[in-house]
Amino acid sequence: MSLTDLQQALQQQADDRQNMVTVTAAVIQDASLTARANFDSLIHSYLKLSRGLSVKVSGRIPAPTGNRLAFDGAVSFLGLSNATASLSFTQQGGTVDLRVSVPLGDGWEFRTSFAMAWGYPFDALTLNDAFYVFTTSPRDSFTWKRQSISLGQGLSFASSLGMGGPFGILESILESFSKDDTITFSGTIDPTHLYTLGSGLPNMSLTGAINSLVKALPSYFPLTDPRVALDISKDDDGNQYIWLSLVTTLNINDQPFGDFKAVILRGSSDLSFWFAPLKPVSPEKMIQLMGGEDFTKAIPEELRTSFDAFGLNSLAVGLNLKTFQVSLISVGIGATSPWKMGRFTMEELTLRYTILNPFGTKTSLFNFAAKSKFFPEVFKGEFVVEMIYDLSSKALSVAANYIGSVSLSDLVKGLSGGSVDITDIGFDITFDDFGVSFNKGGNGEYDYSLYGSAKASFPLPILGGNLTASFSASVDSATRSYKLIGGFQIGGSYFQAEADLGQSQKLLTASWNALGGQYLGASDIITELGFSAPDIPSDLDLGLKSASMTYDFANTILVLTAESVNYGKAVFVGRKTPTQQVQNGQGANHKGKWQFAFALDIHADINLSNLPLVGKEFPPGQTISVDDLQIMVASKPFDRDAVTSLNGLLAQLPADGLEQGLSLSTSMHFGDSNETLSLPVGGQSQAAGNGAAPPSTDTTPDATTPAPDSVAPAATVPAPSSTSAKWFKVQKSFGPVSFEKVGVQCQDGALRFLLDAALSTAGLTLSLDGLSVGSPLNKFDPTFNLQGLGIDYRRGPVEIGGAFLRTQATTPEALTPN
Amino acid sequence: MTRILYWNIENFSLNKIFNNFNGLAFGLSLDRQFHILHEVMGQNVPDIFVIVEVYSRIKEVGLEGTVLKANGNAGKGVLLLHDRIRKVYGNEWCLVPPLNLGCEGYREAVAVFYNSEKLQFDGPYIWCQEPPIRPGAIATDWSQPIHEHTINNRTNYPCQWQNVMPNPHHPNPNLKLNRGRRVDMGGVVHSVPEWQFAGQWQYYKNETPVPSPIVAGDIPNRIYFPGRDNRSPFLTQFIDLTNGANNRIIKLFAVHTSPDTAAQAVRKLANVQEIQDINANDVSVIVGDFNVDTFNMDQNGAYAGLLVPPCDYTMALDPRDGDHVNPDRHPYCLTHLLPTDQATPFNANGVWTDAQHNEYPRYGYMGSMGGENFEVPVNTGAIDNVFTRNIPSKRPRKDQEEEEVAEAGTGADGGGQEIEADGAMAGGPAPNISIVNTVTGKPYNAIPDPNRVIAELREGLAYNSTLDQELINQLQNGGFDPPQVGDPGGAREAKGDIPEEEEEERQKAFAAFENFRAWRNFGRIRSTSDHLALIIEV
Repeated sequence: MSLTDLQQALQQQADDRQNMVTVTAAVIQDASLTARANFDSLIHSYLKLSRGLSVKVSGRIPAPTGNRLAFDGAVSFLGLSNATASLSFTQQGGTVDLRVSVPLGDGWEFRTSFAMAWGYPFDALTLNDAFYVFTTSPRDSFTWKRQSISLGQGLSFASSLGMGGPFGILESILESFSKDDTITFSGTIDPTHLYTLGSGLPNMSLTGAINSLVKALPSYFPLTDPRVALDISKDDDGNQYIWLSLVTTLNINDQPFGDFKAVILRGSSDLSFWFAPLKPVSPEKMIQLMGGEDFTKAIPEELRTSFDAFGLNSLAVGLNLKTFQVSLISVGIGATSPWKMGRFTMEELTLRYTILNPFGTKTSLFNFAAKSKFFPEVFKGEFVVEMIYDLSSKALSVAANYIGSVSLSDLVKGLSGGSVDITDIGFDITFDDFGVSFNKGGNGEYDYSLYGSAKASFPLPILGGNLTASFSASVDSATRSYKLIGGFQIGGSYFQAEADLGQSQKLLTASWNALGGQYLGASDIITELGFSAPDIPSDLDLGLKSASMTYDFANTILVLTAESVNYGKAVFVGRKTPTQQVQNGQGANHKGKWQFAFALDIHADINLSNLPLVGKEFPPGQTISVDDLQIMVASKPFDRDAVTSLNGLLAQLPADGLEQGLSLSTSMHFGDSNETLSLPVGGQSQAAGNGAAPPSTDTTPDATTPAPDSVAPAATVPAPSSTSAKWFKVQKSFGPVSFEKVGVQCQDGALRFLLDAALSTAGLTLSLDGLSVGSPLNKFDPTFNLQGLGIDYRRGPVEIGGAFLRTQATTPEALTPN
Repeated sequence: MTRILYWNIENFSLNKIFNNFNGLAFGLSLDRQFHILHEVMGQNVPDIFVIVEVYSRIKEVGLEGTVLKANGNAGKGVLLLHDRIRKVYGNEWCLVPPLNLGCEGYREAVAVFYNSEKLQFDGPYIWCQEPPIRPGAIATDWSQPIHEHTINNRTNYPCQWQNVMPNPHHPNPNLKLNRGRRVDMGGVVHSVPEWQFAGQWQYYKNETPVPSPIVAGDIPNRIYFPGRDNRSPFLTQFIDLTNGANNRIIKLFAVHTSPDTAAQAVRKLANVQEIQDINANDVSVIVGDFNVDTFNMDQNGAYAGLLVPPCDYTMALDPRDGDHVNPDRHPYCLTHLLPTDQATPFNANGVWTDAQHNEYPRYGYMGSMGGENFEVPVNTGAIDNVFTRNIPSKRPRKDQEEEEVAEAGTGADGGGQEIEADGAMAGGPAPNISIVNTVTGKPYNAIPDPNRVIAELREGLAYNSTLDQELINQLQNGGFDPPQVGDPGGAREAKGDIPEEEEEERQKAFAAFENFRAWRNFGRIRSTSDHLALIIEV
């Protein structure tokens, strides 16, 4: 019913518990009094005491005086142990509040209470006569060294603060200041968010007035009422910041205008002030605050309407303490209405105006910041906009940025109004950084140019492989173009690539040029596209020096043309065979399989006029030659239809189709007659890609043609293996020389043409066995060879038959005519 | 001796060093400015200060090779920092006007500040007004090669950039200088003044076309790094005016490759004629964020071409010990910082070494974010480096007498090839290289290294840690043992399902690294940049 009841209840506790009393709301309620709402919770959260405030009293608890019950005791909280405390219960309007004040004594520092309170600025503060004062009352006061300190509910702090250490910087700006001065430093401490005293820092807001005038700033407004402040607070993201600062009052026309606050950084010798006005500021006053700079000239005609009315959002002033000059003025001036920029709207439009050296050789820098929703169905957040106005050209450039994830498909679909569909490209990318710039068109509408970029490369599916690719999206509203621009890697080389997604046939085009002799091999390309390395002759050192590529996303056809540094043009074609409906008993589709063909032009012309024995017999003007040599490798057979479909992109493959494995294509000229040879050679191709079938074995165009294996190879002349040669009927005669067949063989890195020829005259027929011409593939060096001669003479009764076999002499004797 | 400070300052623009959006942003930006100016630049004042990643995140509108708009946030940031540098370190500090490099989302600039008492800016390009020679084209002021087509089109920079370099009309008497170079152009001698020189922003395989082509697609023979939108190195060159330097030329390439194509870009550097060419008296320096970890065996072959003739550069932060990459050097070569909310001061005592638990000097605060969505701390980040040529080495080059030079690998990413050591240079970091580490401080000798890591990586110029002293003490004494209880990577809130004592320990563990991560300690360093600066004397 009264504080006397509370006194008696507390005394009873002390008597029962060896002078210990525990203050809780229950104790107050037991005395038939009403404790302040959340009484226990306040003690728990501010003093970090979970079971009430325990006090060891000395002597008897005195009777209350009026509405106040006061006594002393020893308390332990906030890192204090048996600290002397003064407790005071007051009853106001039926509610009992508690105030506890504790002198912190010599040697106390913030880390005594809060283990993490070390380092700057705590270590730099010289505190004396410090007190904690805890109160449950929303409004209270405390007299500290004859000064009345206002208290709010919770924990407060008061002490004297020395002006040494980091405050020394203030000597430059204050009229009467000494590092030996002390000031009263007080405010609130809020540890309620801490789990334990060692688990973090409390929030704080402590200030102390400095009894000094502020030196007059040249050419600027007077500052008064200097004070220092220590603030520990959290931002919206929960990050905690500690600021030690100088606070002053800015005066205009002898009227206080607002607080100017400068952070005192560790070791800094400069001060920069920041100011946020609490009441409207007239344009004239803004210009005054900007050192006389007429900011209105920086507002372009387009934005005038938006800036019909505006307000000062912020003001910053830099002060060079060396020269004691205002070194910088920066303002944020906000428009009160948005700017309608065609179909786009710029919200929160702010002029950001900075003047370097405003009272010397000044440099004025200004632009506009805004936020805008840009295709909000695509971009869920706001774009940050920057507008730059060029005073001389009167041009206003507008650009913006958006950080957030949008997929390529959503981007293209959204920005094209659904007119562009990219589902057939077979992949999607997520972009996370977008930029857009705007241009005013002749019709007054604003076109935009947008890019979207991704943080990392991604696997670009092409044929059966995934290339490491990096692409940006590029959208131009004026030309209605939707492109992917970037590149990908093949064999460690970077192909620049571009895809026009706005076209009905979506093609990726790419190009590459070698630098510094860093050539590509055919296998580099083919394996990265998901195929096994083809059985290209190992000596065929392509050394590709440049390449261009076209990939048809929808039809999964890739055509790559390249220039070889050693040969001619190289072509790679990859595609997926069309999916076919097959009757396999289950009604399933037969999925398309990957296949490729590779063709290489070999710039080597071979003139057979130099053939042994027969070459000189060719009639004048008649010769036999081979040119347009092309090596081809196919992972699977390309039939006529397949070639027809590809030759729209590339007129390189034989019209009749291409067999699986290694093939040769060449033009042979027999006098006036030209024949195109296109036939498998080698027969050893192991080329196979995804789903590639085993190589076909029947690749001989003239299977009935006997292989010229009746000619035994010379002992030391590397003769082609006849089993690997493919034969082609010729059946042409040139003067006395007749050609029955031509064989082609590619083996051991060399290409040879085998000629089944005979020389006939006056009944004498010389069959030329093993007549051939060939060259290594890696170096054009044709050699001619004749392994033997057969003689057949028939005239009348005379018949002579025989054969000579060419041998390599191995001993001196062998060279002796016998 | 010229001291070059290089730093990738993440998204450097006005907001980085001066943001008056609100009081908190203002305080944070000033603290970052203080860190840049005083704690990094001020501990060993350089002669040249290179900042890459000058970018406000809003792309600059304009052509490559044009100067940053002074009124854009990136341009304002550079001009404000220049103003602050002059106020702190003297009016002799000048600035090469930063040019737009790269296109679209890759567009950035490089800011090169220099002490004009010791150095004279010398191009190699000049600032030109291109006549509108193309139909419908607008006259453009931009950086162009010195050529008979351009020499007479020289012009002054826009007014805000005009006085960042010495010129006869400079308002500061000390900068009223009429310096320049005489250029003989077909028998006609032109005097090109310093304030009309410009940095170089493009490179060609063969002859450089003049004026630079403006085309929609690829420009023939231009060397891209590696795509046409990616940034090229920014080349500035200076005449060394100090006594005894014999007016040597310092060629300074500033590189910032794009992470997604970095290895490809780095490979191409060795093909740049300007990087290959050097006169006997001159020095050539390549600084930058190469975005290729020198310890990544799948990528570091990209550097190989720079280390052998005709380039023949010396890698300052060299991972190689003899012929092999030595993983022991890794903690001493890292330059990339983890995000604040991932960084720890923990050593690897009792736990598996990873990006958040490691050894001195990197502990758990250096590394990169990897994984599919860049959400996993990974143990990489030796990506900033300096390559020098014609710098006298402190120690003799190994096998110098041997003529035979091992052929360097040309493998790049995907090639699985590590840097192959050139026998003449194997394991030879340049002298006087320092990682400006204000977390643990430098030199890296707080914890004696058992001779695993050579002195060049541990020593160099001294930098004090800017952390609270007790943190410094702990980091220089083995770091923090990783918490054995609790889950510092989990939620901070009390769990309620564990014993109180364990919860207290858990909270202490949180507090330990929260204090490390706090703004006043690691937080402000990481907020300034995700990279540490490098400083080298050449």
